[in-house]
Amino acid sequence: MKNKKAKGIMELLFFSGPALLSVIMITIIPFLMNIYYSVFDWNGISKEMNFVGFNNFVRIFTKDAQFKSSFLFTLQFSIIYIIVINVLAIIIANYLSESYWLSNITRAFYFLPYIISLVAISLIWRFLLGPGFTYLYEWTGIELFGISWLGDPRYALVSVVLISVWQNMGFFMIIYIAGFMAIPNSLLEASSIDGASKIKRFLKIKLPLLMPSVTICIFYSLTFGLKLFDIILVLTKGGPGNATRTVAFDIYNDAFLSNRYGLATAKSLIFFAVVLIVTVIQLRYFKNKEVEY
Amino acid sequence: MKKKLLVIMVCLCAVLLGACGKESANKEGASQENTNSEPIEITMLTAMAYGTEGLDLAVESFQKTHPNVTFDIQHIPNDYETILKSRINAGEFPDIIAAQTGSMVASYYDFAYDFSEDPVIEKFNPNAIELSKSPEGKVLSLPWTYETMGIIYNKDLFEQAGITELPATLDELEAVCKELESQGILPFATAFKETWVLAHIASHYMTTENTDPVKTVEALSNGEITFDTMDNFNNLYRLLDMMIEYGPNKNLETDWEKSENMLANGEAAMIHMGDWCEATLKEFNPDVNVGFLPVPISNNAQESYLLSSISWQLLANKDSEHLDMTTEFLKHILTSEEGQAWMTEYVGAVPAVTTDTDVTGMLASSAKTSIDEGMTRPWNHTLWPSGYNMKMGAFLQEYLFGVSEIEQTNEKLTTGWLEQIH
Repeated sequence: MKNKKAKGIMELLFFSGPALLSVIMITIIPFLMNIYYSVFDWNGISKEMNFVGFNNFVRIFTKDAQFKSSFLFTLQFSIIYIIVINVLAIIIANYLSESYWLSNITRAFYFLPYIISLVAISLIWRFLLGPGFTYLYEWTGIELFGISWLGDPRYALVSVVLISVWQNMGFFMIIYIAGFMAIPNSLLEASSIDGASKIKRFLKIKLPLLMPSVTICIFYSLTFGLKLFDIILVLTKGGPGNATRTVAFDIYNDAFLSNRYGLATAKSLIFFAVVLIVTVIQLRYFKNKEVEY
Repeated sequence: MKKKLLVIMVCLCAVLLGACGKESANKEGASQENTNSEPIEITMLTAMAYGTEGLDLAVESFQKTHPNVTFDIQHIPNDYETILKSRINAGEFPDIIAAQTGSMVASYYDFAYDFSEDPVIEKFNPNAIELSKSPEGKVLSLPWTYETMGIIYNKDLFEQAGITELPATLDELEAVCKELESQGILPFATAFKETWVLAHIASHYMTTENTDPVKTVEALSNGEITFDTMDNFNNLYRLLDMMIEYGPNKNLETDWEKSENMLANGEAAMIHMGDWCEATLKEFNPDVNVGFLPVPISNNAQESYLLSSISWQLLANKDSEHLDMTTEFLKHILTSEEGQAWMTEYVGAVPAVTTDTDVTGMLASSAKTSIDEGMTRPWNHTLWPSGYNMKMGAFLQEYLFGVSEIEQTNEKLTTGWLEQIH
């Protein structure tokens, strides 16, 4: 018996050990170091660090106008992004979950952008929106191509939303397709016998039964939106002006370009707490909405 | 199945242990360095990714006398500081790094080898050494080249438009723009997407109160001068307006590459940039014919200047395993004949080291005429608080697309400065 127990522990360690080790090394330890650095005034380079207690945190809340405005921008982006991507993904998944002869290929096409790295995608879009659109404008004279999509603060947000939605939609669509497919046909048949229209069937049966997928997708899109960084770095560098500066980019900027490593780590801790709270609330709220049949 | 996994794990462990073993072997090698036959590797990280063939030649000549030394030299033009800092925090400080004169190099002084007592500094231009000194007067880095910036104009386009006299005031510059435009030539293609280009342009207008850059920066930091009281600073907005009005359609999308490309290929007549772009211009168009135009900072014809200074410093890591070899190599690439050729011929800049070699750069020689005429001032933007370049650029971009007016922008610039130093 005892032998068996020991064997069980060994097995557990053997299989989960490597994963545990890497999580500790690349997540837990840096996180603890982050907490440590956040109470110092340090430029990220020099050998000496000044202990300043909670001054970094005080400074963020009292002096740092940039943090506040990047926070508002990040929230604004996240809300638009979550709504647009989930609505689009549900609509497309609704059509693609019914199998017809092209459905597999169509799904693959929607999924394709998701497997390309965000940096590569951003570079492609930077080319398309910049020189690409300029040539198109010279060719066709269509106003849409003449707009400075990356150089005008009014459109920069639109461009960023557009690109991130285009890239990630395939992933959400797959989750929704799986969700739609899990809905028992008997319910749908019963409703059509009872005379429910297509729209009614979608709203009253499919959507409530899709709630588990919605919870997951909103969770994913929320964290993606709040942590947005790569597209900003490659596409706009937070510009024009500070129009597309997200919190993650602001933290990067402080740490690596303004030489304020301590301040940046303090910001990242605050940001971590906010993301944690928001996602917990979101998960709780949506879990309550899930229905059983 | 289990056995297979076990075998894999054991192999992995063996590889890891092997890697550790290798490292300790390296360290043993270091202790015996002086025998001169042990292989040594020197690592170097720079941001100057132009004219590197010249450096390769200098390295080759060094290797002739030191066959046991190999080099790992990397040039990183984009995100250089980020990569450098990550390396340092990972415990891999390269033996030699490049840093910009001023606030950037100062943040690496903790690691810098002290050249103050080294006779090599006699070989440099005294002015260049003066610019490279730390606040305590130590020489903790060796200067690379002088760099100059201002408006660069395409001589062929100016000739084509029949402009023979170069504009010396803002009014004259505007007249030239009108003339160019009337002939269907695009006057400006400023890289407004880059915040640093905007900061460079602005720094021209911050030299009137005090031509000594250190004093200007001090005065701004202790509040003696502010952006709204600076004599010529409001003229900056006039130049920016001009650059927008006579610029391409998507002004704020123009990045440095596009801007340099347009100038080199005759699609635009002027950009604001420094002589470091010459190698790139030649890549875009080998027959490019450009020259410097001092930036007019007012309507007084006497007040148009190019800004010039030592831009990059090279510093040796004092904790390097092969410190002697590192400093020897650094001196070689900065002072030897081959090293001088790297700077004068391949980079095309005026080296900080005293030299008899002719500078081949078109822009550097054009700058020389301005220097001789006393139309040059030392720049101050590399002395600003770290990160202020970007901040200022973003504020000026906000002015350009009309989020804030001149007054508000000046206010933001002043408070932003004070925020950055406290």
